[in-house]
Amino acid sequence: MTSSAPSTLPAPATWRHCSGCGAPVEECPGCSGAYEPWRFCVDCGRRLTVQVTPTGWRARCRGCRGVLQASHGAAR
Amino acid sequence: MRALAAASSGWFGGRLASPAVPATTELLADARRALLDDGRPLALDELAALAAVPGADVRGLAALAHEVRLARCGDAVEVEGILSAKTGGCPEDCQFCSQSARYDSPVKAVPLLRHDEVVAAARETAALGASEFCLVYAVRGPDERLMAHLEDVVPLVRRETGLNVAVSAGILDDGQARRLAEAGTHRYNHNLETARSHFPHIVTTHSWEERFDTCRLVRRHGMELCCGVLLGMGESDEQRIELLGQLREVGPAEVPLNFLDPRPGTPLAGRPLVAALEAIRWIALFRLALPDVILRYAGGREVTLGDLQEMGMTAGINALIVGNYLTTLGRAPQEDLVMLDKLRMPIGTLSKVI
Repeated sequence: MTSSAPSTLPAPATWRHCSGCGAPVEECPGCSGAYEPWRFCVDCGRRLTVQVTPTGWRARCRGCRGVLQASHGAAR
Repeated sequence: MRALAAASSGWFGGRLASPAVPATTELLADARRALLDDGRPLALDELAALAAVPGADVRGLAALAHEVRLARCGDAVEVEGILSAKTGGCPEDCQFCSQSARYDSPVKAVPLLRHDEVVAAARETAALGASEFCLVYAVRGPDERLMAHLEDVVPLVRRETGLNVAVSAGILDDGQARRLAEAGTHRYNHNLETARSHFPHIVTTHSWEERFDTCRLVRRHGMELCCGVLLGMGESDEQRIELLGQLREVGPAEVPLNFLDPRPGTPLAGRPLVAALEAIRWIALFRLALPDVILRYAGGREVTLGDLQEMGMTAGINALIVGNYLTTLGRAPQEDLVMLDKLRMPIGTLSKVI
């Protein structure tokens, strides 16, 4: 994926959707496991396009933000 | 032995250490003699008997497996990185896989990565002290575009990082296997996944025999074979023994041991995890069945073993995937390095041919 400067992960307090299933936070406050990258956009709930690499992962939402990036391991 | 066991639980309220069930101590002694003194492989029925030892005896089974690993392979651990270089959109219907286009999985397709992206990921792996890097593609088999990509990227990664390059790109024909070998592919991965008798319950778009044939082709063209399994898909213990026999027939240099991490949207999403002690038992069985292989901790390690990950390293495991997997995350590489340091297991290359 081409990337603009990747941004750090938005804090849970700002989420409108669950990063694990995409449901609105009122329905699901967070169901992502410890060993999962984000799968859904926390702003609009769309599926993210995710690339996992040996020491990190990056994700992009077609609808909103540019590229998210997390360096090793933590999904949060 | 039986009287002593009864006395210890009755008179002394169990304060005496109860001996392992006699049958187990004999089984383990016979297995030890066969593998380490006589240098002969265990028969499948011997493995089946070992697979059935009581839970309290799994530690003893693991200790024997560890002894066999040390005797046959030494104490080094091979560390490998892995990369999904083409993600999702796979036409096959493997029920465990989040990358199948057939299931409603959150995993979105990512097309073939550029060369520079592959090299960057390889560098991440090299920086961790790994010796092997596996490029994985979610395909049934390579089309000509993917073959051309591989013929470029395999020598490129080797040149840029010094890593041994492994490839996993599905079912091969004879010409493709030859071309991959000529491109310098160190090891080709193609898992049998499960026993032949269980396979049709898991995959219908290709046959177990097709996988077996690709495995043979890899060896015929002089590449090392990496052939792994995925436990926890509803197979029986008998089928796991059947699988061990089938693995012996393809003669892999490496066996990655995957434990099912049930994936949302796939038919196996609702399966329970393999219990940690069951995983330890089968790690030991795999080592006892295939004493000379590189037995690698692969997918599902963290979620299945949890706090027992270190125990697996002294139950027969002598290799691991460091960092993240194809679509899921692993634990921090530093934790693995600390674990290996604590176990005094040096990181090294275990292949016979480099």
